[in-house]
Amino acid sequence: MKLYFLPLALFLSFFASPAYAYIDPGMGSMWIQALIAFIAGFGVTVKIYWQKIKYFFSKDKKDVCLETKAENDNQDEYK
Amino acid sequence: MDENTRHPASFRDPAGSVFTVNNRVLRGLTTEGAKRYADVKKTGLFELLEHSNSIVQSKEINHSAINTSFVQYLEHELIPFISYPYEWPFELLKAAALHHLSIQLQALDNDVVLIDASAYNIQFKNVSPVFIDVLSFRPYQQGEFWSAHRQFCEQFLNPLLLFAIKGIPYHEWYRGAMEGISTDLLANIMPFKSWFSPKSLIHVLLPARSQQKLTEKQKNSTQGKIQTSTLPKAVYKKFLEQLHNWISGLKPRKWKSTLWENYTTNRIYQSAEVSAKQQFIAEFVSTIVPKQLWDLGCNDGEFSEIALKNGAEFVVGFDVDLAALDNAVQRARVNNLNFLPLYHQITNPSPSQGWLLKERTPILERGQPDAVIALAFIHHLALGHNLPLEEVVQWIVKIAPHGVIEFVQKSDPTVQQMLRLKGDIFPNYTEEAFKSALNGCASIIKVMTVSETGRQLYWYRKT
Repeated sequence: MKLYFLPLALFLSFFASPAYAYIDPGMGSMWIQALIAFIAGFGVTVKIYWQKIKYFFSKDKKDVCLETKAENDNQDEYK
Repeated sequence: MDENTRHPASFRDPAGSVFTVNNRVLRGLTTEGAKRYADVKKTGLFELLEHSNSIVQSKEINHSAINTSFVQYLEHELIPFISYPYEWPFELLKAAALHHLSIQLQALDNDVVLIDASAYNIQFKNVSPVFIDVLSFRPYQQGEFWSAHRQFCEQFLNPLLLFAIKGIPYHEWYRGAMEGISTDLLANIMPFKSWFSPKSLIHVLLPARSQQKLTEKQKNSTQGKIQTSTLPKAVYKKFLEQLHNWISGLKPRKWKSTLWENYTTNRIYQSAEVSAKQQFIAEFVSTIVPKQLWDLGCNDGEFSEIALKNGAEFVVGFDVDLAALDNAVQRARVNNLNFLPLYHQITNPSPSQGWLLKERTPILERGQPDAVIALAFIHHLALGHNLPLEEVVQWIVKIAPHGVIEFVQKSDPTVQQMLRLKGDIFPNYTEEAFKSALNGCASIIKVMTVSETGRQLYWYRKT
């Protein structure tokens, strides 16, 4: 279930308030940081999907990442 | 004390101003500045950085009102000699850049950031960098960008890259532009292979490209998106760490070894002459015991070190050979010397410049040396640059009340080498003329011949 929230979290991250700056930050510099932030966010998403795929094909299904299990458990509480 | 005594370079941040009064450096903080200072102080960052001598020592003081907008005052320790990035040899600018990034990383761990990345906010105590602007810190806001990235690149990274990648020393360009080397201009001369380097792409080529190529409409829409996007703290930190790693590995690109780089080992004159010179300087310095001594044409700092070992408290060295200056920085680091070697073209000294022509102070007004030494120096000015000998002598004597000047005879092999192609067009370059010029503004205390070719050391006192 939590995978549906990742793109949403990335989308929401583009709506935070801008920081105060008294020097001109320069658009090129800010643009590259936005790009890096996006790539980093994309990287995290890909990594999580990849772990899911690995899990799907793994022979030993008991070898579940504890973190994933714990998160799933938490989500179950809200059902 | 009033607004008129404000330091001429202290105007960028409206939250506070620096004042220099009676040899004390004070900083007035407005309500906004005092809040910012208190918020950062609460995190324990100032204590941490002061403890490691990374930032200037400061104390809160009670002071009569300088300006009604100030609600708090700080007093900072004095820096022995103010220097500017365009005077720093490569090793010092690199040390300053790494220092800035280290402070940023420590600050981020304490949820604090720097609001700017001005190289002028770093000064040197000997060859150790010290951050001097405590008002540059403010609390970190979740998800914020590094707003000073462009300034960091222009004032630290780009000049270092210019020298490391293209082999072009940055000093004259930096001094002319004052705010560093612009990313747009550097991108124009970066080699083709840098398009395949992620570091060059991220910090130079793409920022420059996006600035140049986007249309106004695209710029407006991108700006809107940037204003609402966030940078995770871990990515911010990684960004700083990668920059730190990159700069740590930079070295000046050398086309060939410079004339003076190995001067101490390759010089023409014999070691007996060197030891005679050393003894003379040792005697001079131990008699005068200067608090501050200037070494004109310091090369790799050999005689600066002799001066320091014989009682000089602090030496500022000046030279134009950048490789020799990097060796001098190394000497100061290894032997832990109170020595600051700076790049300086004596024929065109650092001027008063910037806003109202006062923002940056000329070199001669930044220190009051008690003594000056000019060894194997004046023939370069008088014969190499055609400066009138009398004016050269008067200029050196004016610097400090005591000094030693070396006079090199025209028959000396070094001078002969200098005149071989140029021809001897200097009939007035004689020891008699030199002596008469020196007698005109100083009393000669002691003269000593230090070489078979007749090199003479003149110890004088200004009259």
